[in-house]
Amino acid sequence: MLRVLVTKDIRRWWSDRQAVVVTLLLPLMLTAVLGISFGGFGGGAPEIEAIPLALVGDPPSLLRDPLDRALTESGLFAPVWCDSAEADRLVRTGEARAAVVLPADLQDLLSSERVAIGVWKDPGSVLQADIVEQILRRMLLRVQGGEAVYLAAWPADGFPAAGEPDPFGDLLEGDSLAAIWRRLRDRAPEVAAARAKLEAILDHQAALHDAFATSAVALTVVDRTGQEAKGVGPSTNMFDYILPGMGVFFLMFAAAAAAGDLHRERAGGTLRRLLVAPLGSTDLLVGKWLFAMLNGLLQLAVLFAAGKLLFRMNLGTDLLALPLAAVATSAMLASLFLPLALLTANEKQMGTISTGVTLFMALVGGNFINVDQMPPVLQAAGRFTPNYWANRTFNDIVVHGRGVGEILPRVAVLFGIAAVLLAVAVAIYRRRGGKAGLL
Amino acid sequence: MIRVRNLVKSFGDVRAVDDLSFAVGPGEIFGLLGPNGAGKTTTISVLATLLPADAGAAEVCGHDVAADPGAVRRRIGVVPQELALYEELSAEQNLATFGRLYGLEGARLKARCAELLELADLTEHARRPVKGFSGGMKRRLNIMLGLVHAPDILFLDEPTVGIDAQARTRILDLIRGMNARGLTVLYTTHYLEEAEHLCDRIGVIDHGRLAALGDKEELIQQIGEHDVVRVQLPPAAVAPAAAAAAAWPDVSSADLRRGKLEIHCRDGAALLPRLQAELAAAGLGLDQLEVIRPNLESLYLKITGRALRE
Repeated sequence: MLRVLVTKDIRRWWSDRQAVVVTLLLPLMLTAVLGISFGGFGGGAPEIEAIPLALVGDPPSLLRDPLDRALTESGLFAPVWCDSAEADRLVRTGEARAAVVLPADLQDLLSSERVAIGVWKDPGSVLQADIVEQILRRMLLRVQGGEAVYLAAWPADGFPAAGEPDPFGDLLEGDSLAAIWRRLRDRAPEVAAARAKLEAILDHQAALHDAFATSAVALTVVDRTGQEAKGVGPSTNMFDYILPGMGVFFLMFAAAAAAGDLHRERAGGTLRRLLVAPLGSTDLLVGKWLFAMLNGLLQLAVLFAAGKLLFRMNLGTDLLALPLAAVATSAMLASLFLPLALLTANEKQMGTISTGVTLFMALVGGNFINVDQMPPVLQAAGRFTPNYWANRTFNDIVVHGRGVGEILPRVAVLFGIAAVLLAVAVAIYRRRGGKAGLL
Repeated sequence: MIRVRNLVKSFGDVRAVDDLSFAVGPGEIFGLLGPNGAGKTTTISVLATLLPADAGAAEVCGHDVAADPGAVRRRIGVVPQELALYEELSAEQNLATFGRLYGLEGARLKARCAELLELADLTEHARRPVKGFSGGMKRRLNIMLGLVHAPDILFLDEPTVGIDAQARTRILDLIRGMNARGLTVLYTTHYLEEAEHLCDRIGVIDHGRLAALGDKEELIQQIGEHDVVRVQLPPAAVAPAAAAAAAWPDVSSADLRRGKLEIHCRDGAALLPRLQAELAAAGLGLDQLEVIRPNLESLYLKITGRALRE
């Protein structure tokens, strides 16, 4: 029976070719526009608010205060000073996008010794953590450049200032290198002094070259989940961040339309005819759910395939992860609007409410802003929306390259939501008198 | 085939079906005649196991509709009032979908679909999407969908609403043809002429109650309504003629109405020889004469006090 019901709905869906094309193309078109607008292939991400940043170290207030003020006033960072254990926790939980570990004694920065600054990145917020790293690298380049400029400008090269006698006399006169070399080998005391001076100049030039070539401050970057060890870095393709969210967003509309088909069948009279047929008590509901799930699966398959071909999307490193997530997401979204369809009076009412619910959930659950970039408050609220878990799961696979083992907990959440919502729909259906309630 | 006893169904404060009882025999076309909102569709919904009754009992093909709805559903076909078709699908796909829901598969299903398409004269249009069909074609397919699993009883809920006279005639012929093959039909309508010409027996229903039951003649006898003999006379002769006729035996009344003499009597045909003789004796010519037999309209008016409305 279910096969017949699902086949019938697939045929009806497929018969409207224009709607099929629009359903499949719209998410791709919107993804393309957004992806190109926000940086396209391998681009960066726009920043929407100050990046939470943990600072580890205990510098004197003479250094600490201006640094804190500079970071805050830049508008880019929201710095929090803490110890290394707290910084580690903040980064691992995503409350800070990165932690900067300053040397134990910040005065070392001013000495000639090489010092190390650590950066701990939250791989779940790769774009913001990357911003921290890149800014630090630029700062260090400036320090390095400053050192070189200092060496170049310091008057230790022995060149005479204007008006001073020339210490080399005619030692360096002439065009022939051989003639200069012969004069330098002269052991006369006045030549020896000039030669020592020249050697000091050459040593200074070598130090200047070293200053440009090597940094006095080293930057150590550590991914707190150890992804570097697996050799899989977070994606830098903007489409990896946008397409799954758009896919889930449009799937929510498709799921609402599939559930709302109960109203269309009622208005058209076919529901009455179906209810008279010898179907199981919940076959109709399960049939609609199955159709919505298969429809969602097809849409996601087309979307990811097109994403791979058109946008060079990353589909993860584990062949099973993406199909598993797609099945779980489709199952969850297929259940999402069934209770609403049973509680609303007609298609118009259903359409209005489901559109509002979809837009709200998309906003909170990370369909418009990648879950990585969502502020902590929104991330916390997002956990209460079903689509958040779908977005998180796809993000894990596509952006972070995580495999089946790592996404299983989130997949279980998705299947759990699907089962609960389907059970709620069946309960509403039975409470409202079963078939009589659908009429 | 159908037995309904003291059936009651309410929606809130509204009693849609009120102590309804009737029975339909095998091979019969039974009509439920009543205006919109009389309780016809609710009665069919209860018999088709779609709605539970509040009180009373109903059996279809020997199965109690409440206790064994599955068995009932396999024996009945339902043609809803609205065009319950998948407009995006072809006629053949519509039939095949519902055929499969009743367990038909393969060659059997194909043969049944072909047979019904032929019966509905839709064979040439079998693979066209239904949305391109005319109203009459859709109505015929709508009926065929109720027959796809070869039910013993067909419930037809006002199947001719909103179609032209030609299409209506075609559908009524279709129903008669199916009935001739042994199909029992429960037919609801608010068209008097349909009930009168199609149904073997008619139950007149109003406000959920059965007001009258029987074949056409029985119904007319039940209301004790008279024939009307309407005579066109010279204006000056009408009043004396009315006074004279009122005294005749078997005449219940005679009066002037819109310039004509109207005589209400048991048997209009039997009255005609005396009427002609009396008029000839009085030297009056007969311009125009008609005998009006009581019909279901007058029956319905008498029972409900109102005309059937569209």
